[in-house]
Amino acid sequence: MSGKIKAAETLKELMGAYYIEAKNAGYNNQKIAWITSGAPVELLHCFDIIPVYPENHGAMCGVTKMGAGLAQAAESLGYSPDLCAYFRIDVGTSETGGGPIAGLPEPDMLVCSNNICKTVIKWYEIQSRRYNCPLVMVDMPFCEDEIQPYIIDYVVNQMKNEYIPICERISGIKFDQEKFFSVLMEADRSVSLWGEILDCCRHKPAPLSSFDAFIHMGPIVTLRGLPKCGDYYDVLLAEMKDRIAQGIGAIDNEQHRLVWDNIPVWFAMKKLGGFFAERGAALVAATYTSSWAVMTKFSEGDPWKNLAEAYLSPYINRGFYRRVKILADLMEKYFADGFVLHSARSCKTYSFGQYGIREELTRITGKPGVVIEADIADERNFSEAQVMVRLEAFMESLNAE
Amino acid sequence: MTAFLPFDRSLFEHPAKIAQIFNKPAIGVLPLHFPIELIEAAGALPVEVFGIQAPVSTSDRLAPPFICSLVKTFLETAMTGGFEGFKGFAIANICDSCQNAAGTLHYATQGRFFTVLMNLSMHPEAQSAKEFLRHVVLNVKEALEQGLNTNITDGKLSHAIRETVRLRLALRKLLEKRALGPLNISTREVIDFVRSCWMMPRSQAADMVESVLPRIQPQSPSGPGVLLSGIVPAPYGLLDEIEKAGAFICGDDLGISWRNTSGPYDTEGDPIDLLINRLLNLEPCSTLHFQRKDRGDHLLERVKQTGAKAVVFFRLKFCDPEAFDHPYLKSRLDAENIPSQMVETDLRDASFQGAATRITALIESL
Repeated sequence: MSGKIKAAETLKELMGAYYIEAKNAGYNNQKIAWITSGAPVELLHCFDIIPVYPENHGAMCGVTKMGAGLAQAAESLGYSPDLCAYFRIDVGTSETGGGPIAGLPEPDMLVCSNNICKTVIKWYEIQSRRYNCPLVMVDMPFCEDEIQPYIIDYVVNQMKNEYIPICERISGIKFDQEKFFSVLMEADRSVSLWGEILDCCRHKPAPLSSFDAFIHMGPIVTLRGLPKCGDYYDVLLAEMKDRIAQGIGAIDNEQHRLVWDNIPVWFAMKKLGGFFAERGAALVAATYTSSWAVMTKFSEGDPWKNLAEAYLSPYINRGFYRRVKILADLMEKYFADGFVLHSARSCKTYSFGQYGIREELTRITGKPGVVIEADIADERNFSEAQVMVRLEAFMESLNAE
Repeated sequence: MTAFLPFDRSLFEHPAKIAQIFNKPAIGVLPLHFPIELIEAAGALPVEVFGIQAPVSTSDRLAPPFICSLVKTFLETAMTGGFEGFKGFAIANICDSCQNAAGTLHYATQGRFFTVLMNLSMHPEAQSAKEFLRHVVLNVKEALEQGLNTNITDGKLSHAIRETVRLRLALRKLLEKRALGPLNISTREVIDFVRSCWMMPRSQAADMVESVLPRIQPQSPSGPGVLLSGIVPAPYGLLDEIEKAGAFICGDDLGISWRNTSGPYDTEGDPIDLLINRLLNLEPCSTLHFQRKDRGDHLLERVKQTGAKAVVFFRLKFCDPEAFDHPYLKSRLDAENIPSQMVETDLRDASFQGAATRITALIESL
């Protein structure tokens, strides 16, 4: 038995209200910061600066299949079609004012962290020149294996000495330690709830799939640190528990459980979701969605160090062998019998290494995996026939296990 | 000029054979910005490989098709025995591909080589960048000491820094001569010569460059000067095409030559401090991130210094740092009425007629 997730309507309202607030910031004398998905947004909330995520907007453009058109607008400015689709979509949106919400509100400042890729540094430099606004660069070094204390200190120092002063200057508000703690408490709450929601997928049948989680992760990315984020996840978690109690799964007749790696193929979510559902395969975990579940305990002990460590720890900021371990742990935790690695042309950080990871993960877990080549938001880089043939062969091998 | 090369040009494709010539434990270095002085001080040979032109097939097993040929051919060489006899690999994480190459290299070679991946500061102007880099440099030093089973003393490191600075300064003198007119050797030979310096003991390389310098002289220009920008001007045969079209290369902003010889050139003081100071104060590069140094300003300054009438951008396909910068750099040149042409290339391109035609058209328009 399966069924639609009812909270989806609440999510639509929540995200709609968020974008309306951001679009009207100028009328309400509020400031806007464009921020990368891996940057510490909690600090912006201390200054009532509204965070806007061009990556989130890129995903929306992907889902609505507006990505290629906007990307082409960037290409007409001389940007290579080989560059990240999110970047090209963002530049194309700036240039044309197009996209599903008719452009993003102009930024008063930019916040960028390279814990997700180095692409964002170049991207935000370019937008900083375009909008002539300050760029806060919080350098989050790559951590192949253990996260060393000196790296944490480096990040903390940048947050205190570079990030906060610019927020104070832009907002005209002084940093308030108490407000900071309350934002962190809210962030903790949301992250914990998000983790609990994802953990519901340990149940058979899984009450939501990673395709659902890709959509419902909107608030944890964009509203983390605000009470409305936790409030929403309270609702979603309650529904997931209810679905478990009633035996409602994300798909009918769950026969296989798979782990997904990388950002979704946003423009083909429905197609891929349908493909797996028809074959009784539920995507029960993803490295992408779980990256926002590892950011726990911001508020315990030294909050600054915890915050820095949390932001250094996501999957994409880790080395080859650590990635293999994270995936193997996900496979075990969610009782998966296979995995799908999306090699995204836009994302070298996520994708370079996946072929080796597939070999190594299969060696360790004994479970089969497949690599599909596609893209996150530029549908021109998607050969449907090729991807489906590969997935079909993978499903056959899974059935033969 | 080819006669000046310390080894045959064909050996660029075979790093293992180059290492044998110099009879030292070798470390394969993926460009750019790794402090090779530490490798030298460890008594090893840093072999900095600016691309191999051999076809790629084996590395397709582990690398997706959208990785630049500089990284991909390095991986291919590692997977096909081209680094046999080497002890390890050293990589500064200048881009996403280089960063991820470290783990894949280790996996591909089943741990037979140690791999050092070094974090650069992506925010060198931050108050804490210096302290961060101190830890980074000391960790790299320790990793090399362990991998090579040796101690890097301050004395050895100071000596390596002095010799590397001597090489960089000598090469700068050679590269700067081009602004005065076409040299009595071709640009391809200059680039080969520079390339060889990154694959041999830096002390020997400095001696070699200093001895050759008096024999390399500029001639009277008979055509316009062109400045090259990019990481590597590959495929290298394209350089001949520029000169055949009647222009001369009056300077560059290339990773392989100008950027790799960047200062600061200080040699006095604590050697770790000297390495950190250099990393914090390198000249602008697509792979570095400064908020107070603008790469557009830097390129215009290079144009002014060299008297260039046009700029040719060599952009390796899938090289993100260069691809991001190109539209901005072009706009800065356009604003000053300096024509430019970008050619997108691959190290393995056997045919580059299209690129050659575009360059010829640019030169004819000058």
